[in-house]
Amino acid sequence: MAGYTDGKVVVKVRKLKKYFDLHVGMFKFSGEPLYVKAVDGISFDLHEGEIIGLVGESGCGKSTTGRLLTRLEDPTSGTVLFEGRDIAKLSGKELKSYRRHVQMIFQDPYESLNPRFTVQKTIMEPLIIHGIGETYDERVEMVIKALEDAGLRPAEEYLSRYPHQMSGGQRQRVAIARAMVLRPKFIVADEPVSMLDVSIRAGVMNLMLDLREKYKIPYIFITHDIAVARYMSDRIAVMYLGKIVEIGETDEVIFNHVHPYTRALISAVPVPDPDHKHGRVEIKGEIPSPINLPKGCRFWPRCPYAQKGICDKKEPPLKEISPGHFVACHFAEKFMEEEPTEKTVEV
Amino acid sequence: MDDNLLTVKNLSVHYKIRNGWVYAVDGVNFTLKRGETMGLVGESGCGKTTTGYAVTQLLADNAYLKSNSKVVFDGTDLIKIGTYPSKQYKGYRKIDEYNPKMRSYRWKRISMIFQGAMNAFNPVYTVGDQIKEAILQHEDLTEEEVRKRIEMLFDLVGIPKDRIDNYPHEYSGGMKQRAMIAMSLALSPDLIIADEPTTALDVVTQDRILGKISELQRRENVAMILITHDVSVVAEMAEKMAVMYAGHLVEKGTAREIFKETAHPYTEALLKAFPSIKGEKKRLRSIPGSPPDLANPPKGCRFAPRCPYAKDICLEKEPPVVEISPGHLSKCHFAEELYGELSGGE
Repeated sequence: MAGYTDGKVVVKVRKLKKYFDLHVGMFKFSGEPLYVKAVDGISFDLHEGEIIGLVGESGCGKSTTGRLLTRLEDPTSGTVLFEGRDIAKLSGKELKSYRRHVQMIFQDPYESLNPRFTVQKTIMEPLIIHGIGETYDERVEMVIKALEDAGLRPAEEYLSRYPHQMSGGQRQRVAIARAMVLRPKFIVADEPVSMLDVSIRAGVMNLMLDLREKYKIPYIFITHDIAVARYMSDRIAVMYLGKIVEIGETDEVIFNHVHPYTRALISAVPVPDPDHKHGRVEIKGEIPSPINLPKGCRFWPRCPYAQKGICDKKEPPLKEISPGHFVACHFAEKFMEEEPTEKTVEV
Repeated sequence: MDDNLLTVKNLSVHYKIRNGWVYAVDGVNFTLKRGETMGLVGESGCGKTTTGYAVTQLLADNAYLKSNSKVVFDGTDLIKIGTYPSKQYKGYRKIDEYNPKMRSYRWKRISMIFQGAMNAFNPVYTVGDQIKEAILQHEDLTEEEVRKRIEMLFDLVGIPKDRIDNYPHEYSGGMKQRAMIAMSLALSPDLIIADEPTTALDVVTQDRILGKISELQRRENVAMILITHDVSVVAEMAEKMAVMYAGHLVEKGTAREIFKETAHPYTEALLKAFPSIKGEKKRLRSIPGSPPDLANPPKGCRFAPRCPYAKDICLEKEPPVVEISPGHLSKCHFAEELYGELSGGE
């Protein structure tokens, strides 16, 4: 599936930051300002027809990134350029038109659909809001087409159903149809399959891949499940405490990862094969609080390869170590050449 | 006497609902030796949790066990102890909730790791106090001895001792889960029933906790039933494996046999639907349709309506359990023909 990065850039993200101020309301004037640095300066491009998998542990800022891209949150600084325009500066009609072009698919299909809306109403609502389609019949036609695209056939049978009359997989397909009916320019999918059962999950993932093939719509696919990210994406970006620590083509990141955090993360993924020998890369402690970030590299207190005087002093920049593969680690080149296996323990 | 720690025979748990029954678990058989781990996998609603909880009889009010169900633990039939024949429904037994004999088994001999450790602790007591309560419920120890035991347990699961007197909200998710494991080990049980012990956790934490569980298990020679939907966790943790579908145990054997010598179409479909970070990227196969309504299960094989290999007989007759090789069983009419044809996770 290579070659997607050659396409036109749809979304350009540059030094995007989102800090949440903890001193709000009556605490506004109490002492030093206190921030949660949810997203702290990330940059990447999303190309036409490309799927980028955004992975990381809870609290790493992957969902906030998704919300910034859809402008559900305003960034603290940095830009998201969509077709060359900064989305933070859009307002009125332009913002409405942006909201048509970017759609979101949420995690929980039980919460994201209005329980009092039928399927037809759910999917027709965005058409009415954005004034698409001339007549009622034309819109119904579009709704049926979207349902069929989402694999709900025969579509007529689903039109008058309510969410409670459908299974989780069917609901998520309705949510996908609702996003696709507007023919968006890109989609942010936030853990869209993590609530679904295994057998149904595969179907929804295949559906999303097929729709990408058909309409060349790029996705930002946010997930904590690395095996799912590998299946879905062309490129993977690994986030840790608000930063992208490694980004590159999917199998490059899965098999030739360089950053110690990526190494630890991927070594922790269970493999559905009883013969698989499990090598564990030990990392110490837990994710620090995003309020009191460690100085220097954010990962150094947990990193088995950290060196005093370097890692705890200077923040490593995101460097290109091979074409299209970027890593934020002081020792990236060194790790590229020699596999630091001595700290890997066979269990 | 056989050397099995746990023998579950013909276990059927049905839930009474307003007009009829939900046949949640139907005729489940398996055995477990000391120190052995069995992965019990399946999708939501397949009855895996009900099966696990039926061992300690922690079931909802409307659960009834078929009279011929047997759960023999260390030579004693727990069903005989903890249930009595239902007056209302013939052929069923009802659980005697506060049976003191049964309670002496729970936690002391058979403990549990619950799914949402986040919510399994009482927020208004410290974690240490809650573990203490569980210990004192079963053993007569002094304050100091209990404290020592808890310190040792925290050491085992890797939580600093100064966190014993913290409240659950002061713990992270992974720590709560580890405290839960500490609590389940507090009385050195013979069997742990772990219900999705790491499902809500991040991979790094999950990996660490699974490592901890198997290490402790080996050291204390505890048997475990690992209930999960994630076949890759079973591949890592368990030597034995049982696959459930719609209340039936459809395939049983060693994890290796099930992954590499799959003998049931549902197992094949389940494994094929699972993405992996190993090997080549292949298109996943989804299973068409959805699981049956267990209040009204299909007449023949419960998987037949979704099975790509189904023939007429599958819709008519419930399949027998076929022994493919010693200990490797499949509940399929065509198990022998399909054996070797089906491809597992490879």
